[in-house]
Amino acid sequence: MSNYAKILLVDDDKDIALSFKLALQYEGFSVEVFDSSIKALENFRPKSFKLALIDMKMPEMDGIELYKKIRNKDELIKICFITAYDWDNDQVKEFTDCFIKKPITLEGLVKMVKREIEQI
Amino acid sequence: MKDEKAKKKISGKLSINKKNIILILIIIIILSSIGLFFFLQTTTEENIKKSIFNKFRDNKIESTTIVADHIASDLQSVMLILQGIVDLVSVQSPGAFEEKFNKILNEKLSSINKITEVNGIYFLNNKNIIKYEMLSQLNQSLIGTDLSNKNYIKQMNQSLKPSFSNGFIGTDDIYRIALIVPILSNDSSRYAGAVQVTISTEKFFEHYGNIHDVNSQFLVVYDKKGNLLAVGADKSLLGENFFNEKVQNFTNHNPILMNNTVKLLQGISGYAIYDYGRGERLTTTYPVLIEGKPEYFVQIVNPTLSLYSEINKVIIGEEVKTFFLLLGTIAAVASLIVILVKWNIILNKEVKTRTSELEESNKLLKGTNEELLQANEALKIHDRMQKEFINIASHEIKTPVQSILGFSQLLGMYPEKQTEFIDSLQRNAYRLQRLSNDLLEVTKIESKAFKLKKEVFTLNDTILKVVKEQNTILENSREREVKLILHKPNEPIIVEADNERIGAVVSNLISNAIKFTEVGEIIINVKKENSQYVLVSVRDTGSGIDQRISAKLFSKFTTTSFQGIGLGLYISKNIIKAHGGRIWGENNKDSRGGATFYFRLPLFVED
Repeated sequence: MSNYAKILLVDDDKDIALSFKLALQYEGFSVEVFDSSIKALENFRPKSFKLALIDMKMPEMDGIELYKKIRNKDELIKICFITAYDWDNDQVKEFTDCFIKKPITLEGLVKMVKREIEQI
Repeated sequence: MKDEKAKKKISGKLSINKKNIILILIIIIILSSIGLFFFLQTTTEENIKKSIFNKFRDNKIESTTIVADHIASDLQSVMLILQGIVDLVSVQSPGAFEEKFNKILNEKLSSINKITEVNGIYFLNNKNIIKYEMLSQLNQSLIGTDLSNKNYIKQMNQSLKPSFSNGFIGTDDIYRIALIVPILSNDSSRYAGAVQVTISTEKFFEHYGNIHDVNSQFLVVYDKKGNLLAVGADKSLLGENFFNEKVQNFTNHNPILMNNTVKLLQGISGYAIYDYGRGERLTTTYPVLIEGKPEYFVQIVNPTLSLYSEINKVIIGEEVKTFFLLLGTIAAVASLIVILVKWNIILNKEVKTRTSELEESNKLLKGTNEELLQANEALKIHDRMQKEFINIASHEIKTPVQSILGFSQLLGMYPEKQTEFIDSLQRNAYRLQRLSNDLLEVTKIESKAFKLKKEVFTLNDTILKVVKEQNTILENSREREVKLILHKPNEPIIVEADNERIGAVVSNLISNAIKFTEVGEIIINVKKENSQYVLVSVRDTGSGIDQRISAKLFSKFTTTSFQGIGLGLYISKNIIKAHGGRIWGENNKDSRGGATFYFRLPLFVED
């Protein structure tokens, strides 16, 4: 059941976005990908995604800003940050406890996504 | 400015005035000290003079008393002898036992003559006629001489007591005094005659002191009337009365002397200091008291000149001593003042030096403090930049690593997409390589291990190659509508440089231009600037240089892009600098906008 959950993926790095999407699709998830926050927000439909994976560092609008906007539209969606940054997570902990730290193996990514969805 | 100068002038004058005032004060202090010293000195001298003089005076008063007592005692002795004769006569009348009587009388006469010289002892009958005499040596006989007219005889007849006469001129023309003792009848009521001696005043009184020299201490003796019995001042005055015109003229009517003498004649002893034209004199007086009654009066006159010359000798000696003492003291004080003033000058200098040193060190401290603050600020900025760099670097490294990791795993899942994945793998591997190259270059620059691999090559070829590579990347991405245009020079441009690194600089400038240009063209121009330099420019029509970073465009970690680490221009600058060239960038001023980056390189010159 959970394998059919719909996932929103936002990352300005197209290669990463593609590799994550393919890996998740391979596991049976339905993944909608955007390479910019603006596009993602424009196309966001509330209650259609179980989980959102958002890159933190993006041009135009960063991950935290996008988080707030999505949260305004959808109270139930589980949101995880993807980050390649080495900073400590204090400033984003108030938003979520879910962090996907790059680099991560695709198995690791899938495992983490499954666990997050099961917790919902 | 004029005001300030005027103020300075005024303050200068004031300080000079201050100095003058201090100088004047010092002079006043010295002068008043000397004045005070001399005042004290004079007062002291006066006191010494007075004290010496008073001693001298007291001494003279005492000696006058002694002289007067001596005279009194001698006169009394004569009188006692006469009394003895009278007693003898009372028992036996003269003439009886003449031989024995005469013998005794002779003895008495020689006793008197031992005291003072007399002509003889004369016996008067009750009619005051000399009836008997005992003469000394060959003196004239006075038997039969009537003395009843003599005042002292008349007085003696009335008082019936022994008496001392005033001065009178004797029958021998010598000025004399007489000592007479009455002979009374057996019942003591009747005058029966008298015994007398007359004494030459000059001869008598010269025993007791100088009565001849006016210029040294001399003796004056008066009788009760003020007649001069002995006078050292002038012999011609002998027998004259003090109050007479002659004596008064001699003393110039000196009131002090007059007063002194009047009192003396009243029996009051004392002293007087006066000058009647012959120099200052000190006169001491004392009456000749016989049985408590003043009979004659002694005046001892002392010219004070010799006394003062003695005093002055002593005082001048003292003055010389004190003068040298004062001189020494002044010299000592003066040298002390000089030392103090010099010391003060030295101290002032020292204080000035210290103050300026302090000011200097304060300035230095301020400077150092500011430098420290700046350094601290710089350190903080550096620290922040380091953290930022680590974040950016880790992001930049992890991003391609993530893709490589992902696609290499996906190869197994989607074998049909192998070609596509391999392209992605390659692209990310290149990206990682470029990144690691940049980091390595920066490390070399920072550690001064940056070395060029110089070779002689044609710059045209290198630039063409880079442009082709960038064009390929641009075509592959198919995202931007940007055209690369290369304006090649007609001639080959030869440089001696690090081929790979110059290529990297050109590549960096072009990829930067692409990054910031969505639509438009990038023109790469290569031309000889002059015989020494070639100028390469990369001109775009993009967003231009962000004002916020234009100042530190060529510093480390300067980027506004979301791709890249901000090291490209920093590395480029260091490469061009190492070649002895220059790199810079500026926003275009025409309507199309964008920016142009230039670098200038020295041309290869064959020796």
